[in-house]
Amino acid sequence: MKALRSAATNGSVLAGLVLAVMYVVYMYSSVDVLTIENATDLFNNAAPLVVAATGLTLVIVSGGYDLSIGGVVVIANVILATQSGSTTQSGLLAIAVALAAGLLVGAINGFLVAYLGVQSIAATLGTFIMCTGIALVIMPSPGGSVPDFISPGLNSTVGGVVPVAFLVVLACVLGWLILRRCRFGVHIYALGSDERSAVQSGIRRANVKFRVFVGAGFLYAAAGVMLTAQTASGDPNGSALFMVLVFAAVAIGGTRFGGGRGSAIGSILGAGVLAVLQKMLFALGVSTFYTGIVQGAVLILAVLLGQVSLGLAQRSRVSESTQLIHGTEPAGPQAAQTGGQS
Amino acid sequence: MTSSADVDQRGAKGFRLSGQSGYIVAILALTVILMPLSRLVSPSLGSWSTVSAILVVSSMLTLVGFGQGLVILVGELDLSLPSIVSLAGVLTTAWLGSSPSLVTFLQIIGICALIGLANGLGVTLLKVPSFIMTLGTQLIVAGAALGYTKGTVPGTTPSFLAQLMLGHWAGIPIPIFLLVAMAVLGTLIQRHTSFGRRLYAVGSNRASAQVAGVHVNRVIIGAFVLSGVCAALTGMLLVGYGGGATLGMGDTFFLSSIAVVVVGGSSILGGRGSYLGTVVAAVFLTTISTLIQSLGISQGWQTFIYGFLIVAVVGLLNQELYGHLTRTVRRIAGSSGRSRAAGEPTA
Repeated sequence: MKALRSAATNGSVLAGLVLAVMYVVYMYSSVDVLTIENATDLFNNAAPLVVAATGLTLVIVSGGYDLSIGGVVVIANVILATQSGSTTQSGLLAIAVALAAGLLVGAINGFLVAYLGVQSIAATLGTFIMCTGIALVIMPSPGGSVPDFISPGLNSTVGGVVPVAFLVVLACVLGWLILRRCRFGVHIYALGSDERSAVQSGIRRANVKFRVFVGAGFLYAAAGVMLTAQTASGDPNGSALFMVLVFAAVAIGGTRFGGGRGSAIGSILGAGVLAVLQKMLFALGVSTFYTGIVQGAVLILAVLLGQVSLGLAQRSRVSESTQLIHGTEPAGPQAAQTGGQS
Repeated sequence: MTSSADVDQRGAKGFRLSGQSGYIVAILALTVILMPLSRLVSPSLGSWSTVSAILVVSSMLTLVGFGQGLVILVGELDLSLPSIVSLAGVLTTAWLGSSPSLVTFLQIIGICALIGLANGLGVTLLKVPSFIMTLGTQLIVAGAALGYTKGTVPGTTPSFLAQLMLGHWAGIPIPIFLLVAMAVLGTLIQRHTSFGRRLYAVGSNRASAQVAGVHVNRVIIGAFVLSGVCAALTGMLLVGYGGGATLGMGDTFFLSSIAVVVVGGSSILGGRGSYLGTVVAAVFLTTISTLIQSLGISQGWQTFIYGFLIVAVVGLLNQELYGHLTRTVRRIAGSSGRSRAAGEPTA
């Protein structure tokens, strides 16, 4: 019972379970699921979402919102589609420029939010709109092309076995695990759960927030690169839906909107859920007219699921603390752990 | 002379209520200056016909901005407006086009009000953050409109809408009367009804509004429903103005509906702002985009300027920034060099 409840309250575990169930359903709804090609394809679909969701999780855990994802992704996309030329060298240069653009937008967001105290939702809405405009200036209509090493290069496998996209996902997972254990990561969680007490215990709020937005901007640009590898062309208007999916991935992963609780591991699993969902809808033959409806419903349901999980977490925390007060629970290592967490 | 006194008086009243009047008057003045100055850019601009065209286009932005403004006033955000505008437009040509009837008209309004109701219920009862909830309904409604039409919009423009949007009365385009009526009505609703006052109360402090006996959830739901209704009416006006409906006809309102409210001086956090500001901002932004179009600047720069204006206005209206600036200026005036300390948070 206790194990079940703690599983339900951990967003990552919940998302993992949903992913596992959906994958089994998908396996039965379609043939040749368990091939390397199919796994590569799945990772390719998920990789842009995974990278962007990791960035968004950073911002949301720190207590902010970031609507500039769509803008940064689309800027990276049009930069690659127009500037990458046809050789590997020019492609690498274009990727560097795209990533730098992501850093720049992140720095603008960070400056506005951290140093000028602008509400994050307003600041990033503004930069999102500005980025959309710049993307249209760079590339007024869809088209363009990228060199081979970006597409299909970033979509293929290393040595025919390990997909490049898998390595990207792995990098996100490892990066997050390391971040959680270093000082910066702890500060992000502290700031998100209680900003005032975090500041009072000596955390430099502005500095941490600024770095969070810069890091997130970089990851959005990287997501844009992975997305371009998938589409192999540029589209200055194709960002709104992607942004919705990123938010859905974070919500499915059980990260609390408002900060302080959550993990990129959950968001990454959430991105996996969405990628499998897309494949499943395709395998089941749902008309493309209605995929928008399904995605919208999934977004709202995902947030609700996260909320239920958070509610359970709060209730179990309350019951644990009452048990502690009444002394019915022996004060073992678990109690000490609870005390350490709260 | 009389008109400037009028503005001053209006401004003084707004000042007492919101502290934004100087800003609104400044935006209005800027717009009035921009209009004749635009003659320098292109001789066709600045004429009465251009000005009236700007006002006609602004009338739709004012209407959709009213709904968005109510939602922002209670501290939420409605991103589902573009798809509601499109859906209403599609339904108007499909259902109202050949046989206009009041019942069908009310049905369309009712459907859009229900979408607003769904938004409101999701935000209040299910506690889904508003921009996620409305982004979800935006996708669902856009998908529904696409599925219903299968890509091609059926029907024709109802003649009464075309007459309303393209007709003249006493030599003045009818939409300009709509604009003025909307400004008066909207201000009355926001300032002089109990619903309007509750919007401010909920937006500025939800907990104390609750304690004071305001049904917070009902007020928020009401704002979302009205927002849906305004979007529906906007869709209908747009059909009359454009002579038809497309699936993407509401897309421009995604950015501009928020831009008019924010540039109009309302706080994006809620609780502060006046509808008059939104109306003035709608005219201002339409003037700017007309100017940009005539300069031959691309759509991209136009969008960029929208975004920049939001950041600039939100930044400038931010009191913390104002404090920072004055402190920085004082510090620079006092001693030299220690400007980096201006960035440090002050507890």
